[in-house]
Amino acid sequence: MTGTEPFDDVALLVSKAAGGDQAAWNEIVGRFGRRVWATCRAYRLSQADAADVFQQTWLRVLENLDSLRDPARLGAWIGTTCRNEALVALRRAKRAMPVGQPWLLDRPTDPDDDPERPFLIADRDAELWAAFRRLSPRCQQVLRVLVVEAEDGRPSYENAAAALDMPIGSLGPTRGRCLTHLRQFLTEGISGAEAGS
Amino acid sequence: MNDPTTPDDGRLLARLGAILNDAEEPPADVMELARQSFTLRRLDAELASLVEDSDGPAASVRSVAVRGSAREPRQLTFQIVDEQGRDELIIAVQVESVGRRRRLTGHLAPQGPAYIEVRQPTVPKARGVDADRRGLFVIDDVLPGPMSLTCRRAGGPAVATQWTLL
Repeated sequence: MTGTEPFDDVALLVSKAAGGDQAAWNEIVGRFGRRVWATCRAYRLSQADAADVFQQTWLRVLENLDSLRDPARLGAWIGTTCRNEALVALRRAKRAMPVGQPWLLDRPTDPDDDPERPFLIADRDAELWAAFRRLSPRCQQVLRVLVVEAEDGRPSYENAAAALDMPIGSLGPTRGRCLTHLRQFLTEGISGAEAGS
Repeated sequence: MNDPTTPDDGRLLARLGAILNDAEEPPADVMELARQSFTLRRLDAELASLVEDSDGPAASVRSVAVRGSAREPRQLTFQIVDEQGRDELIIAVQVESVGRRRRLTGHLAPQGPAYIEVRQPTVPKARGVDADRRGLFVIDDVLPGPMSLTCRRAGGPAVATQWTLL
């Protein structure tokens, strides 16, 4: 999704998997699985919906193995596919809600969301992570969606606005505000740590 | 919308992205299902693409307009075109919720009898129904989740619809 994966390597995996090599397929799933999952979760799909979108994304990859124009760009293709599928799933969840129900941003934090996250985070990222977690749930979500949308360098603000259920025009100012808060918490966190040492 | 992101914003978001992307391991069973899906690959059928979805991205304006109203049945249209760009087969499906299951009511164009199979990753065996002479078919008890239909007709290749999340 960042395009940093070694070119030949991914193209080779795709061609092996297209040739029927299960091990190559497993490697593809292993390599991109976390990012696909992160995308599902950024859109705040329930665990069950996220699992469905995850599975659906891989089935779409599977049926396109032979026809990918640029196999080296597999990561980007997977990312786009997953975001589109997540958006459709989200739209259906939204439709199922009663009129006027603030359905997304005000949902209680998913209890699955927090506890296991930090252990995968490297020390150097811990401060940024801690600062991020101090943001309001709304800011956290806005930044999550923007980060995922920005992944392949062509963020769709339309999709992000739809996913966040906010007017497209307020996306930029909200992002700016959230990033300001994030920087502020980051500075406080660092200076706090220095003061304490 | 203009992108007011400063280079600093970009760097901060990129760092955040790296953390968020790697932070959470997908559940083991979800990963296993993804690996196992390799066995669902079909080499024997032509692919009919999803060309219309009433819940799809192109429907965003409309779904905002109907937001909160009673859920209308979802309409899916799959299509396969021949090398000259002519419609070879259209499979149109209406999806209704019946309890926690889904009922698929479909029709084929051109019309005519066929055998329609529904495949789902969570269901080990594909189930089939007959489409009648007008190309009409009904499939009950489809589970929420990804599904694909395979259409078999006398004298033609098998056609499988693009995987679609119900």
